Amino acid sequence: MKKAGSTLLLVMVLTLVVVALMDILIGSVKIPAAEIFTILSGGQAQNQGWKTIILEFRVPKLITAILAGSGLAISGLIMQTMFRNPLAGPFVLGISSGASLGVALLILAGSFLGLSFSRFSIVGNWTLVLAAISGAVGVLILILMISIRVRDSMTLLIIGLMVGSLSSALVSVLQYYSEAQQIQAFLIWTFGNLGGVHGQELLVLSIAVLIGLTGCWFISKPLNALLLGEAYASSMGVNIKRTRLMIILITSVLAGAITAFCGPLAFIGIAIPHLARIIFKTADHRVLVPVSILLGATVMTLCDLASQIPGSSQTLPINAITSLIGAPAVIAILLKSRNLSKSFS
Amino acid sequence: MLRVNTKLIFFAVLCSGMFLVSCDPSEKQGHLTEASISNPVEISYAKRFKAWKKGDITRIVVNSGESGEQFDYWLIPAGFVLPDTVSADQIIEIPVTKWVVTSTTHVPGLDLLEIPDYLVGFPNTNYISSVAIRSRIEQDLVKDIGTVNGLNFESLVELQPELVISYISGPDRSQLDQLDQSGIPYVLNLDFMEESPLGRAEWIKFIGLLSGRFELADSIFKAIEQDYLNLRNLAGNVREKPTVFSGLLYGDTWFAPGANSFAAKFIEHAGGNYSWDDQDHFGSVELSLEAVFDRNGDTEFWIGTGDYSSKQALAGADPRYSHFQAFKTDKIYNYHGSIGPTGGFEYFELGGARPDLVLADLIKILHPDLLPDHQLYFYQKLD
Repeated sequence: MKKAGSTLLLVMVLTLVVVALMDILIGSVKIPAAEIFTILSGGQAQNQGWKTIILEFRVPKLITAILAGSGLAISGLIMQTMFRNPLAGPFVLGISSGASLGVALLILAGSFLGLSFSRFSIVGNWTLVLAAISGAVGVLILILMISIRVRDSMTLLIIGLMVGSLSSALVSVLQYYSEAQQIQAFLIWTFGNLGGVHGQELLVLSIAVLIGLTGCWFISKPLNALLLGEAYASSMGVNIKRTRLMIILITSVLAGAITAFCGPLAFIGIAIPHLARIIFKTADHRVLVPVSILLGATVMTLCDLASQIPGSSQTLPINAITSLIGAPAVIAILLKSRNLSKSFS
Repeated sequence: MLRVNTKLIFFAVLCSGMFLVSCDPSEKQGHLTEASISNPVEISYAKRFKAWKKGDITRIVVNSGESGEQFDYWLIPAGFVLPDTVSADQIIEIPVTKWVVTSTTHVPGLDLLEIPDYLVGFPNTNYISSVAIRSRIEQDLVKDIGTVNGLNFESLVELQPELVISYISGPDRSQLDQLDQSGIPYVLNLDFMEESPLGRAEWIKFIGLLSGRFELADSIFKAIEQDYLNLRNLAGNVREKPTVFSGLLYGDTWFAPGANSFAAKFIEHAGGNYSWDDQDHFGSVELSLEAVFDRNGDTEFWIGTGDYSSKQALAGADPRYSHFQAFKTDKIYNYHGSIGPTGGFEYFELGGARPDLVLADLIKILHPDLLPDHQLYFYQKLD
């Protein structure tokens, strides 16, 4: 079993490499593979425009897809474990709702207060990112305060959902008072995007995701204990409060940073952990953590590849792809595999 | 659908003798039908409305195109009663002197026809830039009636306008149903659905018919038309047509005007070559950044950058914009040249009614030698 497992892991690493290469090689604009390798190895391209397309557009987008995919998969995994609920995902704590509220305030409240978005755009994308982070951190602080007071994870789950509804309601009010153009700008943000992250932004996102993933590795063992119930975990010597706090912090860093830079990316966070459990038939987090990272990165990159509609000059929003491809795939796998709830006990 | 004002019927019964005297025999109520109103009002470019006249009676039919839905409006002098044989969606007594309009594109019509004081209400008055109407807003003579998506019906009913100009078409009829309930007459102005700049401008005739100032509207339109056609001819003779692209990134997607859009038509009429003229859309098309960069990385002009009014703002929002040649050589233009005191872009107000001014601006940008004395009005270069 162990040997089969490591072979499978190797296959997954290779798949990620192949998919990543394809993401660089294939796009709306046809560029000969030889040219792409010349560009990647630092040589001079025939067409200067191609160099920009590869180095400035495709490579940063690929890195973002890998970071976002793995980060969301991990935060989904640990949320499902903490709440022992297969429907949990990175955003159940209301983090993406908080981020959405921050962005909605920035884009939509403009017309409410008689300001136009262009006045903010001097500071550009960072303003958007900061707005999203402020919203996410606001919700995080609220959830942390509550989590210290409440003992029961289920209560926390319900409070997270309520916080989400609350901020959605505020977003609706803002939308109601906004002009079509601003609503469209906000709506497009909610579709998610992988291509807007560059330079310093990419650095910040990478650091946040690395911190989150490393943190997660360290709590693999307490996570396994949590699966058997909080009472059992305490009896095993796991500090429940500290572990829960760690899980919330890691999820917030991952989901908060990714949502801030890429918008609320759907689906990956909920689906990938299930895929990982089904493929490896285990609930052991020492396996599930690396597998979810690999699967998340691969699937997100595949979705990015599909969203480009190779050969066409048009694109589709990434969120449409993640759910369009992902949802039927997961349904099929679920129907083939047996009872999923086994993984949670 | 016949909607009959009961008070009017009562009044009509009382005064029927008077009508028989005052009306031409051929216009007797019983003889008035859709077919008998047969003198068409000359509409040359606009495709979304038609009008016919007979004596004091005008019939306007607005069609919303895609759904094939038609709206039949009958304009009658005060006190006149339409016979039962006529089925009208709205019966409006003209001249209308108390208006509520709902889009900034409806505002210049009132201004050009010298009746800005007929406007009594508008959703979100901050968007209006017209000097004459702004001064009325400051004197509280034009009331704010909520937002376009959420008209405040209590304020609207309190205002008692004689007519509301709406532009809501399509499946969501809630606003129109509420207007029906409140008993306020309304008509649809679908100028934004027109496919040609002159077609949009011709809607001034629609306002002219309703305000009883059709002759003035007609002469104003003729002047604009002449001006536009002269400019188009001037630019049509150029040898070199510079290539132009347009639009912005939202997320990962570049939204550009389609080949049949206004923006594309204006560029073509101004002696430019619109880069995405193979994308056969009336609205905008969604393109991948790669495809746009591949085609427009070296394109000379970039005209139309949404809300961004400086290069710094563009690069701040997305550094990838700075790779375009037009960015490096400072050839980016936007319609931020004229902004009203409360932040409205005049392009979205006056631009539709004065396509000649828009065209002159674009010719000045693409072929400055052709119009040496013209100063850019709507457009502005991004620094």
